[in-house]
Amino acid sequence: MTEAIEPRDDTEPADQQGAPTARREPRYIVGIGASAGGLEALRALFAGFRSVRRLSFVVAQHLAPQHRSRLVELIAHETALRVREIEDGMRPEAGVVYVTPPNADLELQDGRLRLRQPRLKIGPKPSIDLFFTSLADALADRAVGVILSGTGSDGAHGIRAIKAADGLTLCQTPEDAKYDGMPRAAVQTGAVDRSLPVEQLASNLLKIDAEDGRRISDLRHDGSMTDEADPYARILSLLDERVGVDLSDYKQSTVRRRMERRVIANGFSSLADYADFFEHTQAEARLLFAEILISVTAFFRDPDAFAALASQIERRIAQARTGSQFRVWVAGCATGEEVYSIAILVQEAVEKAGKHLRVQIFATDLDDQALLIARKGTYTRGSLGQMSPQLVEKYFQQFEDRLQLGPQIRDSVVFARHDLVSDPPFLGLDLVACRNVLIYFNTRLQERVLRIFHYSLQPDGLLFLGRSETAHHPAGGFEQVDRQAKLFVRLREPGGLQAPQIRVRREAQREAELATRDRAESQSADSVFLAMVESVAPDSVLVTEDRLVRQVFGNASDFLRLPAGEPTTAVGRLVPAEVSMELSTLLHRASRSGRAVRGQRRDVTLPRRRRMQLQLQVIPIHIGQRREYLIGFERFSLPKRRLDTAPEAWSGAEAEPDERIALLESELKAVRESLQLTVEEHETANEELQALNEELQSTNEELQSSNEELETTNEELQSTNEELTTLNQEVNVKSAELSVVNQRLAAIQSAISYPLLIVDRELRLQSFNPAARQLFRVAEDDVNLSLRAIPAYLDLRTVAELLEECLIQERDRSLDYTGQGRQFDVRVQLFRDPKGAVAGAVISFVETTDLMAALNDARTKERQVAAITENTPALITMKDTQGVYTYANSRFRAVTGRSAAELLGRTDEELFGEQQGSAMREADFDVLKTRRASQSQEVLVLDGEPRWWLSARFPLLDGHNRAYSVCTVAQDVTERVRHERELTVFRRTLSDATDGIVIFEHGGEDYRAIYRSGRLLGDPPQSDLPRGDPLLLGDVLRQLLREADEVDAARVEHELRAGGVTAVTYRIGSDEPRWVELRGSELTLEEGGTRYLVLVLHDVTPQVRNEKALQDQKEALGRFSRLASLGEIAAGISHEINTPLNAITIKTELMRRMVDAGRAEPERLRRLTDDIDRMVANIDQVIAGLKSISRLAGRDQRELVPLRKLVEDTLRIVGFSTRRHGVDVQVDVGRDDVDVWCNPVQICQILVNLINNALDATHDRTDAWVRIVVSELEQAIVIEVRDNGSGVPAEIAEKIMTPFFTTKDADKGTGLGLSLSRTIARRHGGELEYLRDAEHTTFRLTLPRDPDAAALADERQS
Amino acid sequence: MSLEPGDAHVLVIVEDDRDLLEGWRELFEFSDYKVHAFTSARAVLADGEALRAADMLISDYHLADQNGIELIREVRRIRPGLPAVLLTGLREQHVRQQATEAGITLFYKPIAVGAIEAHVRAALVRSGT
Repeated sequence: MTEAIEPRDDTEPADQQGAPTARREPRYIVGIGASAGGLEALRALFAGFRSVRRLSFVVAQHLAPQHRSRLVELIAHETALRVREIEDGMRPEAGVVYVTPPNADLELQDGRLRLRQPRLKIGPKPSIDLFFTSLADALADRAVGVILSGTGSDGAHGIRAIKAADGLTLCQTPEDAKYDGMPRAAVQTGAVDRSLPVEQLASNLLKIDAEDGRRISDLRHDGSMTDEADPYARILSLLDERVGVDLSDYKQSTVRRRMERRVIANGFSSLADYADFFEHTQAEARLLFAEILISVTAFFRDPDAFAALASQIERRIAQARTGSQFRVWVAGCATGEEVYSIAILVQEAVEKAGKHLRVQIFATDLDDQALLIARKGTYTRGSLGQMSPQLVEKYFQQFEDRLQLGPQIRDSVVFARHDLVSDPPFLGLDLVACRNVLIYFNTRLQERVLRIFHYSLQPDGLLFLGRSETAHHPAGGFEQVDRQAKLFVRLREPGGLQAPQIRVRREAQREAELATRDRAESQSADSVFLAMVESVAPDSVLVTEDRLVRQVFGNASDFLRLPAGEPTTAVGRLVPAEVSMELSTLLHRASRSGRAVRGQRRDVTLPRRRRMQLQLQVIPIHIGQRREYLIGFERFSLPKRRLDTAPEAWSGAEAEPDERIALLESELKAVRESLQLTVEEHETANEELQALNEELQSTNEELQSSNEELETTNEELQSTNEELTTLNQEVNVKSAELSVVNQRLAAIQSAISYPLLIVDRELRLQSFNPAARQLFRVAEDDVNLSLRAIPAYLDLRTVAELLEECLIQERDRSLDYTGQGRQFDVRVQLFRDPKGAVAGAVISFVETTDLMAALNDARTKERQVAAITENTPALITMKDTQGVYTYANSRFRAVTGRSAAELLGRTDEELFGEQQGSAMREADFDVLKTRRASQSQEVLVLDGEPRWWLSARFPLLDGHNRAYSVCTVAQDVTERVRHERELTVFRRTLSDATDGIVIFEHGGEDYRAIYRSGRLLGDPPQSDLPRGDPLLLGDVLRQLLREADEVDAARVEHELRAGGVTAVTYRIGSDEPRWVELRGSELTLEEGGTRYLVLVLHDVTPQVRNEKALQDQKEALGRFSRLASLGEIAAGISHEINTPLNAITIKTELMRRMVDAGRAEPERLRRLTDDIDRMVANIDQVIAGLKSISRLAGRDQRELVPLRKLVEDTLRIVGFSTRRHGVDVQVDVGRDDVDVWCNPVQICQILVNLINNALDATHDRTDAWVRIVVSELEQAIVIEVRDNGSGVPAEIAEKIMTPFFTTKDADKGTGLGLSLSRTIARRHGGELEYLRDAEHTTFRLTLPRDPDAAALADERQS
Repeated sequence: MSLEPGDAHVLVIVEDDRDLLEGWRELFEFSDYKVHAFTSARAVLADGEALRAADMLISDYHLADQNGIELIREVRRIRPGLPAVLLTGLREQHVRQQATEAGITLFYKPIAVGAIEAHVRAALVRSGT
C-alpha cells in the first residue's frame, strides 16, 4: 500500500526541491474541512480527479490526537494526484493533495502551510475554522473552502470568512453527507455558494481548474457550474410518476451510478440526453427501476451470517411455546433466494425443536418482476450456492433442469409488493431481515427505516442486516448480538427511538380526516382535564416549570394576593407568606419525584384578616415536552382549640405570652438567619454545579469529537482490515493450492509406474518414487547421498556418467540400459531453478523389455500378414481417407499391370478413369462414413474387358475408433457372373416365351419336377420347388388336365413316359374358356446320362380366337360386299332413271296446264311429246343394260363373258351420266372375241366405279375425256380406265385402296369403292392398281385368262 | 295485295340437266314468270344482271361445279335475303341441316311440281315484291 504513495521527502522542505520550473504555483488553494464520515466523502471527492493543473488541495480532517493517521494512504488509493502529509513550512504546489497530520492546527502564512500546537485543549483538531480563516486572509478570492460530512459546526465560521474575502465556498449537501452537522451549520450561515453532492463537487472543482484566467466570483455565478434543472431530479420524479416509487431519499451516488449504466446502455453521453429519452420512452422507467434494484443473491449467501442467524432462530424457537407464532419479515426479498433460505432455517429449527409453531414469513419487494420469480420458487442448480446437498435433497424437487422448492416451504412464505419507505410495516415480528437494502438509502432514510423495524419487531426480536451495511448501527433500541453477521436484537425498552412516522402516500384525504379527529380529541382532552382538576383539586393554579402561573382554576384566587411592586405571576410571591417556603419545597420535591406531593396544614391569614388552615398539594403534569405543575389549595376551618399535637415547645412553656413572643421572635430570627445561610450556601452550590455542568459539557464535546475521530479511525481500520483479510485469503488460497500441488506431485510420482529418480547438481538423490524404490532398493536414508554412493541393486555407473555429461552440456539425453536381463530406456531431463540455472535432473527408467519383445513379435506377425496378402489370389488394397492408395498387393499389381510406384499415392480416378474411379470412391466413402464393412460386386474394365469383382470393403480404425483407411479385398468373379447372367437371360427367355414350363428329372422310378415356372402354373411363378416335396409327372399332369375332360391324363402320361414327344390342345374353363397346348419332349445331356423331360405349356387362346374372328370377318365381308355392290349399282341406276323421270314429270305437267288453259299449241305439244319419248328411250337403255348385266350374272357365279359386251353394257348404264357431264368416252376393246371368266356384275361394278371416279375428276374441264382400253397378255387381260382429270395426289395415292377412304363429299360415295373393287379383283385372281407414273390418271384392272387360276385365287381368298 | 301466278316475277333457275332445266323454264314462263335458266353455278354468278333482277332462286343441289347450298350462300352475299328453293334427290341428314341453317326451303325429288309452284308463289307474296 505504501508503494502507491509518493516517497516521503523528510529531509527537504517542499519549497526547496527541484528546479523552479518543476514547481507549480497553485492558482487556487482548496481547503477541505471534514469530520465524521469525512473519509468516505474525501475518497469519493478525490476519485473524480485525474490531473489537476491549477488547484492545490489542503485537507483538514478531524483526527484523534494520539492516533497515527493513515489518511494519506487511503486518499492516495483513490486518486491519481500526489498526496502528501503536511510538514511545517511546506509551500503548496498545484496538483497535490496535502493532508493535515493528527494533533495539529493548520494555518497558511506567507504562502506556507504552518503546523501549530492546537490552541484549544478541547475541541476537534485541526480547527477548520482556524485554517479557513487563515486561507481567507492569505488568498482572498483565490481561496476555496469546502465543507464535507461531519458532526458539530466546525468550519461554519471559516466558510463565512472565505465568503467575506470573496473566495468560493462549497459544501456537501446535508442529505448527501453521512453526518449532516457540519454541512448544515455551513449552509445555515448563508455563506455557501453551492451545496452539491460529492460527485458534483468534484466536477465543479475540475471546472474551476479548467477555467483559465477567470475569476472565481465569475464562476460562482456561471450557469455552467450550476445544474438548474438537474436531470437526475427530473428522472426521479418521472420514475415516481410511472413506477410509483420515490427514490429521492435513496443514496444519490448509488442511484446515479446505476442510472449511468442505463445512459451508457442506451448510447447517450450525458444524463441530460438520457433524461429526454427517458421522458419519451415509457418502457425505460421499468428498465431503470430494475437496474436500480438490481440484486445479486444466492441461497445462504454469507454462510457465516446465516449460521449465526440459525443459532439465534433455534434459540428463540426452542424457547417458544408450542402453538405460538413465529413471524418473519424479509424486506427487499428480490428473487426470493434469501427468503427461502430463511424459511428453510426456520423450518429446520422448528423440526429440531420438535414443536408445532405457526410460521409466517412475509417477503416484500418493490420489484413486481422479481416477486414473480420469487413466487415460482424455481431455481437453477447454480443459484443454490453453498447449500448443503442434504438440504437441497430435502427441500427441492427436480423439475426438468431446474429445482423447485417444495410446497411446505413455499406455502410458509407470503410475497407482496411493499415499499419499505412509504407502506405501513408488519407488526409483532420475531425476525426482520433486510439485507443490502439500506446501502441504497441515505443516512436519514436509513434511520427512518430502522425506526420502522424497531417498531415492527417484538421486544427481543431479531434484526438481520447485510454484511456490507456499515452500521452506522441502529442507533439506540438495538443491541448487536453478532458483529460479523450484522445481527441485532431489539431492546425491551423503547430507548431513544420513537414510533416511526409512517408516511402514507396519496392518502391526503385520510390524513385530513385524521387531523380533524386529532383536533376533536384535543378539545375533548381539555374538558377531561378540567373535570379531573375539578375532582382532584378544585381550587388550584397551573404553573409552568419557571413557577409562573398559567391558569387559575376554581376559587384559587381566594388564596392569592398581588404583592406590592412590579406585577408578577411568580407563584411564590402570590401565595400567602406562610406557605411560600413550603410551596417552593413541594414544587422541588414534585419535580424531583414526578409524583404528587402534599404539604402540612398551616394556619394562614388571608387578606381581610380571614384566618384559616391551608394545605397545599402539588401535582406534576407532563404536557408534551413541557412539564407543568398543578398547585391545589385545600382549606380547613380553624379549630376551636389548639390541636393536641401542638409542639411540646408550645405546650410545655409556662412563660408569659410576651416573653414567649420575644423568645419566639428571637428563635425565628435565628432560624431565618440560618435559613438565609442555607439559601446562600445553596446558591453557591448551584453555581458550582453550573460550572461543573459547563465542564461536563465541554468534556462531552471533546468526547464527541474523539468519538468521531475514533469513528474515522475505525473506518480506516476496517478498510485496512479488509485488505488484510483479502491478503490473508489470498495467502490461504495459495497455501491450499500449494498443498494440493504437493499432493498431486506425490500422487503423480507414485502413479508413474516406471522408476524415477530426482538428483541435484551434485548427483545427490533428492527424491524417488515407489517404482524406483522397488527397482533400485533405495530407501529414505539414501536421500542426499550421491548417486554413486548409493548401494543400488543395479549398477548405475553408466547412468551417472550420462548424468554428468548432461549436466556439463546442459541438455537432455537418453540411453539404452540393460541390467538384470531387463532393458530400460533411461532418460535424463534437466530442470532449472527460477533463475534459469540447472538445479538438477529427473532420471526416468522406462522399461522396454516387453516393448522390445512385442516389437519383435509385431515384426514377425507383420511379415506373416505380408506373406499372406502378397500370395493370395485376391486383390488387396488399402486407401486412405482421401482415396489415395497406400498399399496394393502383388496380385493387384499384376492384374492392373502397374508397379507399386505407379500405384501408391494415386487415386482410383487416376488409375481407372473418372467414371469407375468415382463409383469406387463412393463405396469407399460409405465404408468410411458408416465404419461398417460392406460387400459389393463391381465391374472394372481392364484393357477394354469388363471384369467382375466381389469386393469386401472394411474400414481400418485407429485408436480413437476413427476410420483412417479402407481396405478392399476383391475376388475375380467374372466367370461366375457371366454364367449367372447367361442363366438369368435363359430363364427370363424361357418364362417369357412360354406360359408354363416344367422340367422333370428322371430319378429312380419316376419323373420328379426340378424346375417349374410360368403363369399357367400358378401365381407367383415358381422357379424352384421346395425340397422334400417332389412333384411327380403324374401329379403335374393330373393337375394341369383336371379341367380338360376330353383329354385323358393317364394316356398322356403314358405317352410321355414312353419317350414319345406329344402335343395336346385342350380347353379349360367354361365361362371364359382358354385353350392350352401342352407339349412334352425328352432330352439327355450326355449319352446314358440323366434323362430330363421338358413339359411346355402354351396358351393358344388368342390364336384360336383369332382364327374364329377371322372366319367371322370373312363371312361378314362377303355379305357386306355383295350388299355394297348392289347398293352402288342401285344408286347409279336411280340417278340415271330419276333425272329423265323428273324431266318427264315437268313436261307432262306443262302439257296438262296448256290443255287446261286452252293454250295447247300443236307444235309445242309435239315437241314436248318427242322430248318425253327420247327420255323414255334413255330409261329403256339403262334398264336394258341392267337387264343384260344381270342376265350375264347368274347369281354370284363365274362364267365366261365376252369382254366387249361387258364394257358396252357398263357404258349403257353410265351413258346417261357421261352424256350429262359432256364427257367424251372412247372405248378400245380390240378383238371382239375376248372372253373373261368372271362374275359380270362384279366386274361391271368395278368399271362403273372407275368411270364415275373419272367423271368426278374431270367435271371442271370442258374437254374432259375418258378412255377404256383393253389389252391382252398371255396369261391375263388388262382393262385400263384413263381420264384427263386432276389425277391422284401423290400423298394419297397410297391410301386410296384402303377401305372407307374417299376424297368425295359424303353424299357421293361410301368410300368403299376402290377398296371393294380391289377385293373383287383379287378374288378373281386379278389385281386392281393405280398407275402412279402414267401420263394420265390410269387405273388398271388385271384379270387372269385361266379360269382355274381365278377359281383357285377365289378359294384362297375365302 | 293479290297476285296472279307469275305476275312477271323474275326467277333464276339452276339445274345441270338440260332437259329438266328446259322443263322448268317452260313451265314457269307459261305461268307468266320471267325465267333466267343456268346449267352451272359459275354461269349464274357471272350474270350480274339476272341476279340483280331476281325475285327468287331455285337451284338443284347436285351441280357439277358446286353444290346448291354453296351457290345460294354466294348469291345471297350479293342479294341478301333472296328467297331460295333447293331441290335434291338425296335424303341425307346433313343436307337438310345445312339448308335449314341457311334458311332455304328444301324439296325432294321426284318433284311435286304443284307444291313447288305453290311455295314459290307464296314466298313471293311474303317478300312483298
